[in-house]
Amino acid sequence: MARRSGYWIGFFLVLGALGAAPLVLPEFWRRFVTEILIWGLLAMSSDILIGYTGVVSFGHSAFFGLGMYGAAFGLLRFRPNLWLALAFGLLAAATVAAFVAYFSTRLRDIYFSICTLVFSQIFYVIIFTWTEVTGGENGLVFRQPPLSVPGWQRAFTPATLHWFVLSIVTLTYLALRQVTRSPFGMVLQAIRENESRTMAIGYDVKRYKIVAVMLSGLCAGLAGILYAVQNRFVAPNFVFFDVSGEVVIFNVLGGMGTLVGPVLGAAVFFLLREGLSRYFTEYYLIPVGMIFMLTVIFLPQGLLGFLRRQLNQ
Amino acid sequence: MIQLLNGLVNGMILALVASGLTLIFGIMDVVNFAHGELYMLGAYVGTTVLAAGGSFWLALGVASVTIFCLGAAIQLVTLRPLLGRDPLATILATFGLSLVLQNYALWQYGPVARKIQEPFTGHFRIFQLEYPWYRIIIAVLSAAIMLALWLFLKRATWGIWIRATAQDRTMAAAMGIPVPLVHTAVFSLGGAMAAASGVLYGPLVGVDQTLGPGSWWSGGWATSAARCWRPSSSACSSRSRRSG
Repeated sequence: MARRSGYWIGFFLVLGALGAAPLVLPEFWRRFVTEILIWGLLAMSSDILIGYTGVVSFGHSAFFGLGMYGAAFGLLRFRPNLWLALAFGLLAAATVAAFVAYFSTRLRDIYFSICTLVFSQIFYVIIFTWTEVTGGENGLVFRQPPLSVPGWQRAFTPATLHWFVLSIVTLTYLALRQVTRSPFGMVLQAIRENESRTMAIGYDVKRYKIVAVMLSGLCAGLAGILYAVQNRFVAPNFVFFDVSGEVVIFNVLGGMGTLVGPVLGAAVFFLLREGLSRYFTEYYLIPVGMIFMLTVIFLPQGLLGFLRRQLNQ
Repeated sequence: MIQLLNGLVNGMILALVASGLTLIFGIMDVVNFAHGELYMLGAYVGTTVLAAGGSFWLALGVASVTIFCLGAAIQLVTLRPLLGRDPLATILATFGLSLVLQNYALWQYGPVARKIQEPFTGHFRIFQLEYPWYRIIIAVLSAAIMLALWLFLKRATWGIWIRATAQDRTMAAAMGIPVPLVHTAVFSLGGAMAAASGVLYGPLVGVDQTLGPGSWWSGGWATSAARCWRPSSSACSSRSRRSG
């Protein structure tokens, strides 16, 4: 009981700090925190696969990117409405996720990773070359939709945008937390521990994995929509492999299988990038890659797992 | 027809890189996401030797030896501590490695592509077209290197040790084979083969740091090539692992 109340105290403390962030932080860091939240959501979505189902997706950029492009499509071709963008983005991400899930879940281990990677690159090439719809290499630029509920409408300020992102990320987090604790989530963890045995018990492993990939893709799409709304543009770079790679880095740095860990990982990664690019300019990935390898070797549970173990001792 | 010939030549080069990759995958169960980077660094070492006035063949040799040593160092530092851990850990570690190597190349050699001068510029006529000798030679050379590898695995003591390790790691260790050393050697050997193909292929495509965006090359080849290697060598090992 004490543990659970401790969890909620921690939860509300962090939520409060993040909620207060736009009021106290200067402009640059405010934007920085919003961005971390969005990338954190993407990392969290990938954690369902890496941390809970035990398969590494190297293709999350596809879901993220399709969410972005879906939102942009809705905003440009129809009305500049936030909820319409959300609906279009989620629809696009879900379609792609269903497609990828159907094929990739036939495979295991590294073959799954490579399959997702290949699919994400296929979508990258499609987006890169289909200039009439996607704007090709230049991407698409659009106006930010206003924050609207029926009967009330107001343009986003940096603070309201931050709160909007924060509330969506928090809601998704709570939903995913519930999912991972549900019987469904338990089966996913059983697949991670021993796929053959789970199959032998009588679970339709493939169907569970398909749902896991789709759920993960949907959340990644959500992150893409938020990113598109925040930055008012979409570009094919976000569908490229680099993004998928970064998502895996967030997970490993922060701690797989914790949902919060990847968000922490994203925060650490971006702080490292800010800090290190002063000294290493665009080669900051050299030290980051080294830190990443050290984490893999010495902190297999990631930062969060490490902190947890220290606290428990 | 010229397409067919080109396809054959490119296929030989890819087969050379992929054979290094499968060597590593089949024996160590390590999916080497940094393989493309070793290939690229090999090509860069080649350009450095050429710039210093060395001949093409010297460049080929130096690149292979350098990457062989680099591979040994990498294996000792990053992969050996992960022996016996989840295969996921090695994927992630080599992925981190590929980031480091790729950006190192960018930092050291800059973003401008370099060219390796081909050692033969002769042409011959085929199907009313001029076809460069060099392409034929690299195809033959790749085939020769792979044949040498095959003979090495088949006949040499080390080759037999490698095959034994691939079949059953524990049993091989019990028989007195220095398994950790075999792993290091295999990783270096795979790296050296990647480097050699990097230099060989250098004259046909420019050399820049995106030459081996790790995942790309290694990833694609892993699926296609690994399947060929696995059924023979690791049917036993995977079975023993599952029961263990």
